[in-house]
Order: sequence, then C-alpha cells, then structure tokens
Amino acid sequence: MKNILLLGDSIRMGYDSYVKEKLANRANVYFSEDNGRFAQYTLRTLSDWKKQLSWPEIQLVHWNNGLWDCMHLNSCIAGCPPEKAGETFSPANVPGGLHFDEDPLTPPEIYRYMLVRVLTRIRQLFPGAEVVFATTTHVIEEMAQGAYRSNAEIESYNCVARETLIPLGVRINELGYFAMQKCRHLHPEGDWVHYNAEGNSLLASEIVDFLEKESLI
Amino acid sequence: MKNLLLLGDSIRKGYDSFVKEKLAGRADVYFSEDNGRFAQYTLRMLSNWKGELSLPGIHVVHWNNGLWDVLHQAVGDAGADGETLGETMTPVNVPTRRFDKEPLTPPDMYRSMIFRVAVRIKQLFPRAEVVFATSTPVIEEQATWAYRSNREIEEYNAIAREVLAPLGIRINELGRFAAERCATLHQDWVHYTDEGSRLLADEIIGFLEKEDLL
Repeated sequence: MKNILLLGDSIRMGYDSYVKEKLANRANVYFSEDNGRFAQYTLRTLSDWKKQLSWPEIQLVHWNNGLWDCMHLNSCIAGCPPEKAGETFSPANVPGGLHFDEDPLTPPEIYRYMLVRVLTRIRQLFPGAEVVFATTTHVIEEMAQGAYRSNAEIESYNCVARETLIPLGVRINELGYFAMQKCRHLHPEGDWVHYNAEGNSLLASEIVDFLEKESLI
Repeated sequence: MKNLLLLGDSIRKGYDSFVKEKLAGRADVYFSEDNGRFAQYTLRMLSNWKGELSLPGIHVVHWNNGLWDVLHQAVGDAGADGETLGETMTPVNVPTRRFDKEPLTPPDMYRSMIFRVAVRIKQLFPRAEVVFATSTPVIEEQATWAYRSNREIEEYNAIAREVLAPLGIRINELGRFAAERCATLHQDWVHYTDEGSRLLADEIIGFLEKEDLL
C-alpha cells in the first residue's frame, strides 16, 4: 500500500479525514494536525512535522498553499486612525466600508519564490515521492470581515502555481475549479471559505479520483 | 502605569518574565505565549494575539524579528539524493553539514516584512511608541539542524535600522549588548541562561528609562 501525505491549510483539514476513510485498505494517509497556513510557514515547519509524526517513507505528496498567502488582513479592526492604516483598500462588494491591507500577506512574487522552496523541501524530505499541487478554492468575497480575499486574485495565484510547478514535474489537481463547480453551495452557514461535511466529502472524492486517473494509487 | 507589549521570538520568551518581574509596580508587561517566529508570522498573527490577550491600550511595543528569518535549515538529513537537494551551503566552521543556501526570509523580503509589521503595530496600537531590538549573535560552529551566521545577523540588523529608524522607531542595540555581556551565558548556540536573560531584561529596562518610555 502506498503512503500518501496531505499538506495544506484548513481546507485540507476539512477533507483529510475523508480522504483517509475513502482510501482505507488502499493507501495509508498521513497529515499533521497543524494548519499548513501560508507557504513560508509550510517551508519552515515541514521538517518539524516529519520528525514529530514519524511518517514512514512517503510515495505521494498532495499539497496546497495559497488561501493564507492571498489574504488581505483587515487594517482597521482596532479602530486605528487613517494615518496609521498604511496603504489600504475597500472592496466594492464588501459591505460596511471595511479597510484591508493593500498587499496580500504574501505578494505574488514572494509566493512564486516560496512555492519553489517548499517543493525543494518536499523533495529533500520525501525523495522519490510524486508531488501533486491542488489549486486554491474560491471564497464568498462579500462575506469578508476580518480579512479579504478575491476570487480573481485566487485565480492569479493558481496561475502562478501552475506556471511555477508544472515545469518542475509537479502534477496539478484543479481542486479550485472542481470546488467552484460542485461545492459553491456547500459552505457552512456564515462561513465564506470552508466547506461543510458534504462539501469536504466531495473534495475528498475528487482527490481520490484524481489520484486514480493519474495512476498514483 | 504604562502598558508595555513585548513581541519577538524565543529570545524574547527568555527575558519576558524577567522584564515583567523587574517592572512590577512600575509598568504592566504583556506578551503572548506564542513564539513570534519570523517576520511574516508576526505580521499574520499580531492581530490574533491582540484579540486573545485582550490587551489594554498599549503605550510601548518592544519588538524583534530576525533570528528565524536568517535561519538556513539543514538539508539532506532525510537522505535526499543530490538532484533534489536544491542549492546548499556548507559553512567552513560547520564542515559536516549541508544547509539551505537561502535563509528562510531573504534580505529583501525581510525588509518588506518588517516594514509591514511596523505598519501593523501602528494600526493595532496607534498611540504606542515602538522600539525594535536588534537580533542577538549565535555560536555558529554549534549549528546542527540549522545554521545562522553572525555576519548575516548583523546584515539583517543593518536592514532593520535602515527601514525602521526613518519611521520613528527607536533601535535598542540588544544584539551588541548580548555580544559584549552575554557571550559566555548561552544555554545552547542561540539562547541564554537565566543569568543571561536577566541581563537582557536589565538592558531593556535601562533602554526604556534612558528613552523616557517608562
């Protein structure tokens, strides 16, 4: 049986146990309880997770970073005066005139650079493993409050990932595209980012299907 | 009494309780139990810490990021083959190990991230005076799972001075103090013994007094 490692943020934490369940007796599925957060966080912490969790030899890594990277944090959540706010913007479709950082947490060029470094780290720690990158899933922009993400920017980050990783031999699982088509009504009440159990189960099925199609399990 | 917030990595975690103890009755000292790690981590987490700690109006923020940023992690521990290693380096004084050629946060990214952390501090604590403490030196040749060089630490400190002083942030040369006074007080290649951490706390209080911030 193959050993599969799932890496990623809270979207991964939503589907990881479903993937494990669906692949029971076909593959061993491993993941950290820690959130992979943004690319630089995964870069720094991956070797720690490997050590802490005593993972066996891994044949396949299914990975995403992106939703934390393209996040614009709310700038004025503390009620600070405008001169302290730095460069901000207010998206037209977000009610309440909230101000968000002009720059995403990880600007696109740094995202591009960090993806290469995370990939290098994956290949250092799990030599011989096939690597799949899952594209980032969309959000309900107008529900943004504590932070903002735009779907246009998520798509541009996904383009950065495809451009950067495909030439390096990474397979791209278009999970973001799938979620947009099949899961857009499956967010929990009041949540603009995550999926409910039905949505997470669908994402897990898509991942298993992708791995089958690519003959990776 | 003033409210003082301490931000930073495990060096801060070494001295935070000593600063609190030494300032008892003179200032209220706050800090998160989370490690501030690297600059981008602090940028992302600072608003969370503010919420979790229910901080009052803060008058002084004493902050450092740098030691995680200049970190070169070891590669090859997992038996990776040559072609997957990426670009590596082997310092002359640590000849048996290979480390990432690039630090966790390259210098230009450090420059942009500490600027952004400074903006975030001013957003979240709009009336606070901000002090940046320079990063402390390490014992390079004891590096194992990761490497830092003192030359690079000094380069990152120079970036911090260049970026932050023009924003009105005061620079506490804690790194220089530690090099002079705490070089024999390490508990490992990076951190200080209680005696060393107490000295760092004294230096911080001395700096705040000199700058009339207490």
